[in-house]
Amino acid sequence: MKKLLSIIIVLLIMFGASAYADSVRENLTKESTVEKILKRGYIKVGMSTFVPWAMQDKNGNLIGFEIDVAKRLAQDMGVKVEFIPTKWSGIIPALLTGKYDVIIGGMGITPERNKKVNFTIPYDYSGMSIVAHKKKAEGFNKLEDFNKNDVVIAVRIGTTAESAVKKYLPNAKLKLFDDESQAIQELLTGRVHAVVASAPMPAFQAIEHSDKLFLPFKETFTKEPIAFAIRKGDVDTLNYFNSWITIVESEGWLKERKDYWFNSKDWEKLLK
Amino acid sequence: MKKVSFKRIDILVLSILILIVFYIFYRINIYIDYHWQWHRVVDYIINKDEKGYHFGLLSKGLFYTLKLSMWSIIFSIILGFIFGTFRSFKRPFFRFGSLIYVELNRNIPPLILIFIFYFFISDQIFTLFEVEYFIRNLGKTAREIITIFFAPPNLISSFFAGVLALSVFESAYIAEIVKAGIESVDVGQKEAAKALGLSKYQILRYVTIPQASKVIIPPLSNQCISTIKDSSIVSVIAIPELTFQGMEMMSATYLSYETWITVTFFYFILTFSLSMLNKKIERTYTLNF
Repeated sequence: MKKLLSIIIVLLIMFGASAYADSVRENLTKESTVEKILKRGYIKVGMSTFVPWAMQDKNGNLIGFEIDVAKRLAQDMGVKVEFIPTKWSGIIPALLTGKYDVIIGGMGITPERNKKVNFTIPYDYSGMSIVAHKKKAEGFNKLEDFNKNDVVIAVRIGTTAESAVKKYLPNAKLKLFDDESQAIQELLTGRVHAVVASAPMPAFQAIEHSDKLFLPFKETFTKEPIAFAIRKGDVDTLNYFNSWITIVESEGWLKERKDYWFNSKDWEKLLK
Repeated sequence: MKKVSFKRIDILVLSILILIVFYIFYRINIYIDYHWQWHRVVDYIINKDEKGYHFGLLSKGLFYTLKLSMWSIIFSIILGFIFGTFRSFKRPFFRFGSLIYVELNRNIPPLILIFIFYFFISDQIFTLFEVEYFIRNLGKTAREIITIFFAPPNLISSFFAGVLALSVFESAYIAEIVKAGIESVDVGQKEAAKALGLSKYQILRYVTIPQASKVIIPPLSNQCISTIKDSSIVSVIAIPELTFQGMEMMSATYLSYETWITVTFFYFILTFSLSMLNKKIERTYTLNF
Protein backbone atom coordinates (compact mmCIF):
# COMPACT_ATOMS: atom_id res chain seq x y z
CA MET A 1 0.00 0.00 0.00
CA LYS A 2 2.78 2.39 0.97
CA LYS A 3 4.64 1.54 -2.20
CA LEU A 4 1.62 2.25 -4.36
CA LEU A 5 1.09 5.57 -2.65
CA SER A 6 4.67 6.68 -3.21
CA ILE A 7 4.47 5.66 -6.88
CA ILE A 8 1.32 7.71 -7.28
CA ILE A 9 2.97 10.71 -5.61
CA VAL A 10 6.05 10.46 -7.84
CA LEU A 11 3.86 10.19 -10.93
CA LEU A 12 1.82 13.17 -9.84
CA ILE A 13 4.94 15.26 -9.29
CA MET A 14 6.32 14.28 -12.70
CA PHE A 15 3.07 15.08 -14.39
CA GLY A 16 2.81 18.36 -12.58
CA ALA A 17 6.38 19.29 -13.40
CA SER A 18 5.96 18.58 -17.10
CA ALA A 19 2.71 20.52 -17.15
CA TYR A 20 4.52 23.35 -15.39
CA ALA A 21 7.34 23.25 -17.95
CA ASP A 22 4.77 23.39 -20.72
CA SER A 23 3.10 26.41 -19.23
CA VAL A 24 6.47 28.11 -18.74
CA ARG A 25 7.26 27.60 -22.40
CA GLU A 26 3.85 28.84 -23.39
CA ASN A 27 4.24 31.92 -21.25
CA LEU A 28 7.71 32.58 -22.60
CA THR A 29 6.38 32.57 -26.14
CA LYS A 30 3.37 34.63 -25.20
CA GLU A 31 5.48 37.20 -23.45
CA SER A 32 8.27 37.36 -26.01
CA THR A 33 8.93 40.74 -27.56
CA VAL A 34 8.12 39.44 -31.04
CA GLU A 35 4.65 38.38 -29.93
CA LYS A 36 4.09 41.75 -28.29
CA ILE A 37 5.21 43.59 -31.42
CA LEU A 38 2.88 41.56 -33.63
CA LYS A 39 0.02 42.08 -31.23
CA ARG A 40 0.36 45.83 -30.95
CA GLY A 41 1.18 46.33 -34.62
CA TYR A 42 4.34 48.39 -34.39
CA ILE A 43 7.95 47.90 -33.44
CA LYS A 44 9.80 50.45 -31.36
CA VAL A 45 13.41 50.88 -32.39
CA GLY A 46 16.01 52.69 -30.32
CA MET A 47 18.76 54.46 -32.22
CA SER A 48 21.23 57.31 -32.02
CA THR A 49 22.65 59.58 -34.68
CA PHE A 50 25.77 58.26 -36.42
CA VAL A 51 26.54 59.41 -39.94
CA PRO A 52 25.75 57.51 -42.19
CA TRP A 53 24.10 54.82 -40.04
CA ALA A 54 21.29 57.01 -38.82
CA MET A 55 20.69 60.72 -39.08
CA GLN A 56 17.92 63.25 -39.63
CA ASP A 57 17.59 65.03 -42.94
CA LYS A 58 16.70 68.69 -43.13
CA ASN A 59 12.99 67.97 -42.66
CA GLY A 60 13.57 65.84 -39.62
CA ASN A 61 13.01 62.52 -41.42
CA LEU A 62 15.30 59.74 -40.33
CA ILE A 63 17.59 58.31 -42.99
CA GLY A 64 20.59 55.98 -43.01
CA PHE A 65 21.69 52.38 -43.20
CA GLU A 66 20.20 51.38 -39.84
CA ILE A 67 16.96 53.10 -40.70
CA ASP A 68 16.70 51.06 -43.89
CA VAL A 69 17.41 47.87 -41.95
CA ALA A 70 14.77 48.64 -39.33
CA LYS A 71 12.18 49.62 -41.94
CA ARG A 72 12.74 46.41 -43.88
CA LEU A 73 12.52 44.38 -40.68
CA ALA A 74 9.19 46.00 -39.80
CA GLN A 75 7.91 45.48 -43.33
CA ASP A 76 8.82 41.78 -43.20
CA MET A 77 7.13 41.44 -39.83
CA GLY A 78 4.06 43.16 -41.22
CA VAL A 79 4.09 45.93 -38.64
CA LYS A 80 4.77 49.66 -38.54
CA VAL A 81 8.06 51.04 -37.34
CA GLU A 82 8.64 53.74 -34.78
CA PHE A 83 12.04 55.23 -34.07
CA ILE A 84 13.01 56.53 -30.67
CA PRO A 85 16.12 58.70 -30.98
CA THR A 86 18.17 58.41 -27.81
CA LYS A 87 21.46 59.75 -26.54
CA TRP A 88 24.12 57.12 -27.12
CA SER A 89 25.27 57.12 -23.50
CA GLY A 90 21.78 56.16 -22.30
CA ILE A 91 20.81 53.75 -25.06
CA ILE A 92 21.23 50.49 -23.08
CA PRO A 93 19.48 51.68 -19.87
CA ALA A 94 16.54 52.88 -21.96
CA LEU A 95 16.28 49.45 -23.63
CA LEU A 96 16.34 47.75 -20.26
CA THR A 97 13.58 49.98 -18.88
CA GLY A 98 11.43 49.14 -21.90
CA LYS A 99 11.45 52.38 -23.86
CA TYR A 100 11.83 50.34 -27.03
CA ASP A 101 11.94 46.72 -28.20
CA VAL A 102 15.32 46.60 -29.88
CA ILE A 103 18.41 48.69 -30.49
CA ILE A 104 19.23 48.89 -34.19
CA GLY A 105 21.87 51.52 -33.93
CA GLY A 106 25.17 50.24 -35.25
CA MET A 107 25.96 48.70 -31.89
CA GLY A 108 29.15 46.67 -31.86
CA ILE A 109 29.15 43.44 -29.88
CA THR A 110 31.38 43.70 -26.81
CA PRO A 111 31.65 41.32 -23.84
CA GLU A 112 30.96 44.27 -21.54
CA ARG A 113 27.68 45.19 -23.27
CA ASN A 114 26.76 41.53 -23.53
CA LYS A 115 26.54 41.37 -19.75
CA LYS A 116 23.51 43.63 -19.91
CA VAL A 117 21.85 42.75 -23.22
CA ASN A 118 21.57 39.89 -25.69
CA PHE A 119 22.96 40.32 -29.18
CA THR A 120 21.73 38.80 -32.42
CA ILE A 121 24.13 37.43 -34.99
CA PRO A 122 26.01 40.27 -36.72
CA TYR A 123 24.34 41.86 -39.74
CA ASP A 124 27.23 44.14 -40.50
CA TYR A 125 30.93 44.56 -39.78
CA SER A 126 32.51 47.84 -39.02
CA GLY A 127 35.99 48.93 -38.15
CA MET A 128 37.78 51.81 -36.52
CA SER A 129 39.51 54.28 -38.72
CA ILE A 130 41.49 57.38 -37.90
CA VAL A 131 41.47 60.90 -39.33
CA ALA A 132 44.26 63.28 -38.33
CA HIS A 133 45.13 66.96 -38.43
CA LYS A 134 47.58 67.79 -41.26
CA LYS A 135 49.80 70.12 -39.24
CA LYS A 136 49.61 68.53 -35.79
CA ALA A 137 50.09 64.95 -36.97
CA GLU A 138 52.49 65.66 -39.79
CA GLY A 139 54.28 62.58 -41.05
CA PHE A 140 52.14 60.15 -39.04
CA ASN A 141 51.34 57.22 -41.30
CA LYS A 142 50.84 54.19 -39.11
CA LEU A 143 48.96 53.38 -35.94
CA GLU A 144 52.10 53.30 -33.73
CA ASP A 145 52.78 56.95 -34.57
CA PHE A 146 49.75 57.91 -32.55
CA ASN A 147 50.73 55.84 -29.53
CA LYS A 148 52.71 58.58 -27.80
CA ASN A 149 52.30 60.49 -24.57
CA ASP A 150 51.92 63.87 -26.23
CA VAL A 151 49.26 62.75 -28.70
CA VAL A 152 45.63 63.67 -27.92
CA ILE A 153 42.79 61.76 -29.56
CA ALA A 154 39.12 62.73 -29.55
CA VAL A 155 36.36 60.10 -29.57
CA ARG A 156 32.66 59.87 -28.89
CA ILE A 157 31.93 58.78 -25.33
CA GLY A 158 30.77 55.20 -24.72
CA THR A 159 31.50 53.99 -28.23
CA THR A 160 33.73 51.12 -29.28
CA ALA A 161 36.07 53.83 -30.58
CA GLU A 162 36.77 54.69 -26.96
CA SER A 163 37.71 51.12 -26.07
CA ALA A 164 39.68 50.70 -29.31
CA VAL A 165 41.84 53.72 -28.47
CA LYS A 166 42.39 52.42 -24.93
CA LYS A 167 43.46 49.07 -26.30
CA TYR A 168 45.53 50.00 -29.34
CA LEU A 169 46.83 53.42 -28.31
CA PRO A 170 47.28 53.10 -24.54
CA ASN A 171 49.83 55.92 -24.36
CA ALA A 172 47.75 58.54 -26.16
CA LYS A 173 45.57 60.93 -24.19
CA LEU A 174 41.80 60.63 -24.67
CA LYS A 175 39.32 63.45 -25.00
CA LEU A 176 35.68 62.36 -24.79
CA PHE A 177 32.75 64.03 -26.51
CA ASP A 178 29.02 63.47 -26.57
CA ASP A 179 28.77 63.72 -30.35
CA GLU A 180 31.06 62.94 -33.20
CA SER A 181 30.60 66.42 -34.65
CA GLN A 182 32.05 67.92 -31.47
CA ALA A 183 35.08 65.64 -31.78
CA ILE A 184 35.54 66.67 -35.42
CA GLN A 185 35.23 70.34 -34.48
CA GLU A 186 37.93 69.84 -31.89
CA LEU A 187 40.14 68.29 -34.56
CA LEU A 188 39.47 71.09 -37.04
CA THR A 189 40.52 73.70 -34.49
CA GLY A 190 43.71 71.71 -34.02
CA ARG A 191 43.34 71.01 -30.32
CA VAL A 192 43.65 67.25 -30.83
CA HIS A 193 45.85 65.21 -33.16
CA ALA A 194 43.23 62.81 -34.45
CA VAL A 195 39.70 61.49 -34.19
CA VAL A 196 38.98 57.77 -34.04
CA ALA A 197 35.56 56.63 -35.24
CA SER A 198 33.86 53.86 -37.16
CA ALA A 199 34.61 53.90 -40.88
CA PRO A 200 33.62 55.58 -43.20
CA MET A 201 33.07 58.78 -41.22
CA PRO A 202 36.80 59.61 -40.90
CA ALA A 203 37.29 59.17 -44.64
CA PHE A 204 34.30 61.41 -45.38
CA GLN A 205 35.71 64.09 -43.10
CA ALA A 206 39.13 63.88 -44.72
CA ILE A 207 37.53 64.53 -48.13
CA GLU A 208 35.28 67.30 -46.80
CA HIS A 209 38.13 69.18 -45.12
CA SER A 210 40.95 68.09 -47.39
CA ASP A 211 42.86 71.32 -46.65
CA LYS A 212 43.21 70.50 -42.95
CA LEU A 213 42.63 66.79 -42.38
CA PHE A 214 44.08 63.62 -43.85
CA LEU A 215 43.86 59.86 -43.51
CA PRO A 216 47.15 58.53 -42.10
CA PHE A 217 46.33 55.06 -43.48
CA LYS A 218 43.42 53.77 -45.51
CA GLU A 219 42.47 50.50 -43.81
CA THR A 220 40.58 50.12 -40.55
CA PHE A 221 42.52 48.84 -37.55
CA THR A 222 39.74 46.83 -35.88
CA LYS A 223 36.96 44.61 -37.11
CA GLU A 224 33.75 44.78 -35.14
CA PRO A 225 30.59 42.77 -35.53
CA ILE A 226 27.45 44.93 -35.45
CA ALA A 227 24.22 43.41 -34.14
CA PHE A 228 20.75 44.17 -32.80
CA ALA A 229 20.55 44.36 -29.03
CA ILE A 230 17.51 43.09 -27.13
CA ARG A 231 16.63 42.51 -23.47
CA LYS A 232 18.11 39.38 -21.96
CA GLY A 233 16.49 35.98 -21.87
CA ASP A 234 14.13 36.40 -24.81
CA VAL A 235 14.99 33.35 -26.91
CA ASP A 236 11.99 33.63 -29.20
CA THR A 237 12.83 37.18 -30.27
CA LEU A 238 16.50 36.41 -30.60
CA ASN A 239 15.73 33.50 -32.91
CA TYR A 240 13.33 35.59 -35.00
CA PHE A 241 15.86 38.37 -35.55
CA ASN A 242 18.68 35.91 -36.24
CA SER A 243 16.64 34.18 -38.92
CA TRP A 244 15.67 37.51 -40.44
CA ILE A 245 19.31 38.59 -40.63
CA THR A 246 20.26 35.28 -42.26
CA ILE A 247 17.56 35.77 -44.88
CA VAL A 248 18.38 39.35 -45.87
CA GLU A 249 22.05 38.54 -45.77
CA SER A 250 21.70 35.70 -48.26
CA GLU A 251 19.45 37.83 -50.44
CA GLY A 252 22.31 40.27 -50.82
CA TRP A 253 20.03 43.06 -49.67
CA LEU A 254 22.26 44.04 -46.74
CA LYS A 255 25.29 44.41 -48.97
CA GLU A 256 23.36 46.47 -51.49
CA ARG A 257 22.11 48.89 -48.79
CA LYS A 258 25.57 49.09 -47.28
CA ASP A 259 27.09 50.00 -50.63
CA TYR A 260 24.56 52.76 -51.03
CA TRP A 261 25.24 54.34 -47.64
CA PHE A 262 28.93 53.65 -47.26
CA ASN A 263 30.48 53.59 -50.72
CA SER A 264 28.40 56.21 -52.47
CA LYS A 265 27.52 59.71 -51.42
CA ASP A 266 24.23 59.91 -53.35
CA TRP A 267 22.39 60.47 -50.09
CA GLU A 268 24.29 63.64 -49.27
CA LYS A 269 21.85 65.75 -51.25
CA LEU A 270 19.24 64.92 -48.61
CA LEU A 271 21.28 66.86 -46.11
CA LYS A 272 22.12 69.83 -48.32
CA MET B 1 10.20 108.62 -18.95
CA LYS B 2 13.46 110.52 -18.52
CA LYS B 3 15.54 111.08 -21.60
CA VAL B 4 18.70 109.02 -21.61
CA SER B 5 21.84 110.80 -22.69
CA PHE B 6 24.99 109.04 -23.80
CA LYS B 7 28.06 109.87 -21.78
CA ARG B 8 31.59 109.36 -22.97
CA ILE B 9 31.98 106.28 -20.79
CA ASP B 10 28.92 104.65 -22.37
CA ILE B 11 30.35 105.12 -25.84
CA LEU B 12 33.66 103.68 -24.71
CA VAL B 13 32.08 100.58 -23.16
CA LEU B 14 29.89 100.04 -26.21
CA SER B 15 32.78 100.27 -28.65
CA ILE B 16 34.84 97.86 -26.55
CA LEU B 17 31.96 95.38 -26.62
CA ILE B 18 31.62 95.68 -30.39
CA LEU B 19 35.36 95.20 -30.75
CA ILE B 20 35.22 92.02 -28.67
CA VAL B 21 32.45 90.59 -30.86
CA PHE B 22 34.43 91.39 -34.00
CA TYR B 23 37.55 89.91 -32.49
CA ILE B 24 35.74 86.62 -31.76
CA PHE B 25 34.52 86.39 -35.35
CA TYR B 26 37.97 87.31 -36.58
CA ARG B 27 39.48 84.50 -34.53
CA ILE B 28 36.94 82.02 -35.83
CA ASN B 29 37.65 83.05 -39.40
CA ILE B 30 41.41 83.38 -39.34
CA TYR B 31 42.69 81.18 -36.55
CA ILE B 32 40.26 78.30 -36.77
CA ASP B 33 39.78 78.92 -40.48
CA TYR B 34 36.13 78.06 -40.30
CA HIS B 35 34.11 77.69 -43.51
CA TRP B 36 30.84 79.42 -42.93
CA GLN B 37 27.99 77.70 -44.76
CA TRP B 38 24.99 79.75 -43.77
CA HIS B 39 23.06 78.82 -46.91
CA ARG B 40 22.78 75.24 -45.62
CA VAL B 41 21.13 76.43 -42.42
CA VAL B 42 18.20 77.99 -44.31
CA ASP B 43 17.03 74.55 -45.45
CA TYR B 44 16.90 73.41 -41.86
CA ILE B 45 14.51 76.24 -41.03
CA ILE B 46 12.30 76.15 -44.11
CA ASN B 47 12.73 74.40 -47.42
CA LYS B 48 10.89 73.83 -50.65
CA ASP B 49 10.40 70.85 -52.92
CA GLU B 50 7.92 69.98 -55.66
CA LYS B 51 5.19 69.50 -53.05
CA GLY B 52 5.59 72.96 -51.58
CA TYR B 53 7.18 74.44 -48.50
CA HIS B 54 8.18 72.37 -45.47
CA PHE B 55 9.27 73.33 -42.03
CA GLY B 56 12.81 72.19 -41.41
CA LEU B 57 14.33 70.33 -38.48
CA LEU B 58 15.01 73.46 -36.44
CA SER B 59 11.54 74.98 -36.91
CA LYS B 60 10.00 71.72 -35.75
CA GLY B 61 12.25 71.87 -32.71
CA LEU B 62 11.07 75.41 -32.04
CA PHE B 63 7.42 74.26 -32.04
CA TYR B 64 8.27 71.51 -29.57
CA THR B 65 9.99 73.97 -27.29
CA LEU B 66 6.90 76.18 -27.48
CA LYS B 67 4.52 73.32 -26.62
CA LEU B 68 6.79 72.02 -23.90
CA SER B 69 7.21 75.43 -22.27
CA MET B 70 3.53 76.30 -22.59
CA TRP B 71 2.35 73.18 -20.74
CA SER B 72 5.14 73.44 -18.19
CA ILE B 73 4.27 77.08 -17.49
CA ILE B 74 0.56 76.26 -17.07
CA PHE B 75 1.15 73.30 -14.76
CA SER B 76 3.88 74.99 -12.76
CA ILE B 77 1.68 78.03 -12.14
CA ILE B 78 -1.18 75.81 -10.94
CA LEU B 79 1.12 73.76 -8.70
CA GLY B 80 2.98 76.85 -7.54
CA PHE B 81 -0.22 78.63 -6.49
CA ILE B 82 -1.48 75.57 -4.64
CA PHE B 83 1.72 75.04 -2.67
CA GLY B 84 2.33 78.76 -2.24
CA THR B 85 -1.09 79.33 -0.62
CA PHE B 86 -0.67 76.17 1.47
CA ARG B 87 2.35 77.76 3.04
CA SER B 88 0.27 80.62 4.38
CA PHE B 89 -2.17 78.22 6.08
CA LYS B 90 -1.96 77.69 9.82
CA ARG B 91 -2.48 73.91 9.72
CA PRO B 92 0.92 72.21 10.02
CA PHE B 93 -0.12 69.54 7.51
CA PHE B 94 -0.40 72.09 4.71
CA ARG B 95 2.49 74.24 5.89
CA PHE B 96 5.02 71.47 6.30
CA GLY B 97 3.75 69.50 3.33
CA SER B 98 4.38 72.38 1.02
CA LEU B 99 7.64 73.24 2.75
CA ILE B 100 8.91 69.72 2.06
CA TYR B 101 7.71 69.91 -1.54
CA VAL B 102 9.43 73.23 -2.18
CA GLU B 103 12.71 72.38 -0.47
CA LEU B 104 12.92 68.97 -2.08
CA ASN B 105 12.42 70.26 -5.59
CA ARG B 106 14.45 73.40 -5.16
CA ASN B 107 17.46 71.48 -3.95
CA ILE B 108 17.60 68.78 -6.60
CA PRO B 109 19.33 69.59 -9.89
CA PRO B 110 16.69 69.77 -12.65
CA LEU B 111 18.66 67.29 -14.75
CA ILE B 112 18.36 64.66 -12.02
CA LEU B 113 14.63 65.38 -11.70
CA ILE B 114 14.23 64.75 -15.41
CA PHE B 115 16.02 61.41 -15.21
CA ILE B 116 13.91 60.42 -12.21
CA PHE B 117 10.71 61.25 -14.08
CA TYR B 118 11.87 59.63 -17.30
CA PHE B 119 13.28 56.39 -15.97
CA PHE B 120 11.15 55.76 -12.90
CA ILE B 121 7.94 57.67 -12.75
CA SER B 122 6.94 57.78 -16.41
CA ASP B 123 7.93 54.14 -16.75
CA GLN B 124 5.96 52.95 -13.75
CA ILE B 125 2.92 55.19 -13.90
CA PHE B 126 2.41 55.29 -17.64
CA THR B 127 2.86 51.56 -18.00
CA LEU B 128 0.51 50.96 -15.10
CA PHE B 129 -2.26 53.04 -16.62
CA GLU B 130 -1.35 52.02 -20.17
CA VAL B 131 -1.37 55.65 -21.28
CA GLU B 132 0.41 54.93 -24.54
CA TYR B 133 -1.88 52.06 -25.41
CA PHE B 134 -4.91 54.19 -24.59
CA ILE B 135 -3.77 57.04 -26.83
CA ARG B 136 -3.00 54.74 -29.74
CA ASN B 137 -6.47 53.25 -29.62
CA LEU B 138 -8.18 56.62 -29.78
CA GLY B 139 -9.83 57.75 -32.99
CA LYS B 140 -7.80 59.37 -35.74
CA THR B 141 -8.91 62.95 -34.99
CA ALA B 142 -8.30 62.56 -31.27
CA ARG B 143 -4.83 61.21 -32.00
CA GLU B 144 -4.13 64.13 -34.31
CA ILE B 145 -5.27 66.65 -31.72
CA ILE B 146 -2.97 65.04 -29.15
CA THR B 147 -0.12 65.11 -31.66
CA ILE B 148 -0.66 68.82 -32.33
CA PHE B 149 -1.02 69.91 -28.73
CA PHE B 150 1.31 67.41 -27.08
CA ALA B 151 3.38 64.90 -29.03
CA PRO B 152 2.91 61.92 -31.34
CA PRO B 153 2.10 58.65 -29.49
CA ASN B 154 5.64 57.29 -29.69
CA LEU B 155 7.00 60.35 -27.88
CA ILE B 156 4.12 60.94 -25.51
CA SER B 157 5.65 59.31 -22.43
CA SER B 158 8.94 61.16 -22.72
CA PHE B 159 7.05 64.36 -23.49
CA PHE B 160 4.95 64.05 -20.33
CA ALA B 161 7.99 63.09 -18.31
CA GLY B 162 9.67 66.27 -19.52
CA VAL B 163 6.63 68.47 -18.86
CA LEU B 164 6.13 66.99 -15.40
CA ALA B 165 9.76 67.34 -14.39
CA LEU B 166 9.89 70.94 -15.60
CA SER B 167 6.56 71.83 -13.95
CA VAL B 168 7.56 70.34 -10.63
CA PHE B 169 10.92 72.05 -10.72
CA GLU B 170 9.58 75.48 -11.70
CA SER B 171 6.57 75.25 -9.38
CA ALA B 172 8.87 75.13 -6.36
CA TYR B 173 10.13 78.59 -7.27
CA ILE B 174 6.65 79.85 -8.10
CA ALA B 175 5.42 78.62 -4.71
CA GLU B 176 8.08 80.77 -3.06
CA ILE B 177 7.04 83.77 -5.16
CA VAL B 178 3.37 83.26 -4.26
CA LYS B 179 4.19 82.82 -0.59
CA ALA B 180 6.22 86.03 -0.57
CA GLY B 181 3.33 87.82 -2.31
CA ILE B 182 0.80 86.63 0.27
CA GLU B 183 3.10 87.57 3.13
CA SER B 184 3.53 91.04 1.67
CA VAL B 185 -0.13 91.83 2.31
CA ASP B 186 -0.49 93.77 5.54
CA VAL B 187 -1.92 91.78 8.48
CA GLY B 188 -4.27 94.68 9.18
CA GLN B 189 -6.00 94.04 5.86
CA LYS B 190 -6.83 90.48 6.83
CA GLU B 191 -7.93 91.49 10.30
CA ALA B 192 -10.19 94.19 8.87
CA ALA B 193 -11.71 91.64 6.47
CA LYS B 194 -12.25 89.24 9.35
CA ALA B 195 -13.90 91.99 11.36
CA LEU B 196 -16.27 92.58 8.44
CA GLY B 197 -17.31 88.95 8.72
CA LEU B 198 -15.69 87.58 5.55
CA SER B 199 -15.01 83.85 5.45
CA LYS B 200 -11.49 82.40 5.10
CA TYR B 201 -12.02 81.73 1.43
CA GLN B 202 -13.47 85.20 0.83
CA ILE B 203 -10.48 86.82 2.51
CA LEU B 204 -8.13 84.91 0.27
CA ARG B 205 -10.15 85.59 -2.85
CA TYR B 206 -11.10 89.26 -2.38
CA VAL B 207 -8.46 90.71 -0.09
CA THR B 208 -5.20 88.79 -0.12
CA ILE B 209 -4.83 87.60 -3.71
CA PRO B 210 -5.69 90.88 -5.48
CA GLN B 211 -3.12 92.72 -3.39
CA ALA B 212 -0.57 89.93 -3.53
CA SER B 213 -0.72 89.61 -7.32
CA LYS B 214 0.88 93.03 -7.72
CA VAL B 215 3.93 91.64 -5.97
CA ILE B 216 3.66 88.22 -7.60
CA ILE B 217 3.37 89.10 -11.28
CA PRO B 218 6.82 90.59 -12.09
CA PRO B 219 8.86 87.67 -10.64
CA LEU B 220 6.30 85.22 -12.02
CA SER B 221 6.81 86.43 -15.56
CA ASN B 222 10.52 86.14 -14.97
CA GLN B 223 10.00 82.52 -14.00
CA CYS B 224 8.07 81.87 -17.22
CA ILE B 225 11.01 83.09 -19.27
CA SER B 226 13.22 80.85 -17.15
CA THR B 227 11.00 77.89 -17.98
CA ILE B 228 11.59 78.37 -21.70
CA LYS B 229 15.31 78.46 -21.14
CA ASP B 230 15.26 75.51 -18.74
CA SER B 231 13.25 73.45 -21.23
CA SER B 232 16.50 72.90 -23.14
CA ILE B 233 17.62 70.34 -20.54
CA VAL B 234 14.92 67.86 -21.58
CA SER B 235 17.04 67.28 -24.68
CA VAL B 236 18.78 64.59 -22.59
CA ILE B 237 15.70 62.38 -22.81
CA ALA B 238 15.55 62.86 -26.58
CA ILE B 239 12.44 65.02 -26.82
CA PRO B 240 12.94 66.65 -30.23
CA GLU B 241 12.92 70.22 -28.94
CA LEU B 242 15.16 73.03 -30.14
CA THR B 243 18.37 72.03 -28.36
CA PHE B 244 18.03 68.35 -29.25
CA GLN B 245 17.32 69.20 -32.88
CA GLY B 246 20.32 71.51 -32.85
CA MET B 247 22.49 68.61 -31.69
CA GLU B 248 20.95 66.34 -34.33
CA MET B 249 21.60 68.92 -37.00
CA MET B 250 25.17 69.36 -35.85
CA SER B 251 25.73 65.58 -35.90
CA ALA B 252 24.41 65.30 -39.43
CA THR B 253 26.00 68.38 -40.97
CA TYR B 254 28.99 69.22 -38.76
CA LEU B 255 28.02 72.89 -38.95
CA SER B 256 28.72 73.60 -35.28
CA TYR B 257 28.87 77.39 -35.22
CA GLU B 258 26.00 78.04 -37.62
CA THR B 259 23.76 75.61 -35.74
CA TRP B 260 24.31 77.08 -32.31
CA ILE B 261 24.13 80.69 -33.45
CA THR B 262 20.77 79.92 -35.08
CA VAL B 263 19.51 78.03 -32.02
CA THR B 264 20.58 80.92 -29.77
CA PHE B 265 18.73 83.33 -32.01
CA PHE B 266 15.56 81.20 -31.88
CA TYR B 267 15.62 81.05 -28.08
CA PHE B 268 16.21 84.78 -27.96
CA ILE B 269 13.16 85.47 -30.18
CA LEU B 270 11.01 83.32 -27.89
CA THR B 271 12.14 84.75 -24.59
CA PHE B 272 12.39 88.33 -25.82
CA SER B 273 8.85 88.37 -27.22
CA LEU B 274 7.60 86.85 -23.98
CA SER B 275 9.36 89.47 -21.91
CA MET B 276 7.84 92.22 -24.10
CA LEU B 277 4.41 90.66 -23.51
CA ASN B 278 5.11 90.54 -19.79
CA LYS B 279 5.95 94.24 -19.71
CA LYS B 280 2.58 94.97 -21.27
CA ILE B 281 0.73 92.74 -18.79
CA GLU B 282 2.53 94.28 -15.86
CA ARG B 283 1.64 97.77 -17.02
CA THR B 284 -2.08 97.06 -17.51
CA TYR B 285 -2.24 95.09 -14.29
CA THR B 286 -0.70 97.75 -12.11
CA LEU B 287 -3.01 100.37 -13.65
CA ASN B 288 -6.07 98.41 -12.62
CA PHE B 289 -5.26 98.65 -8.95
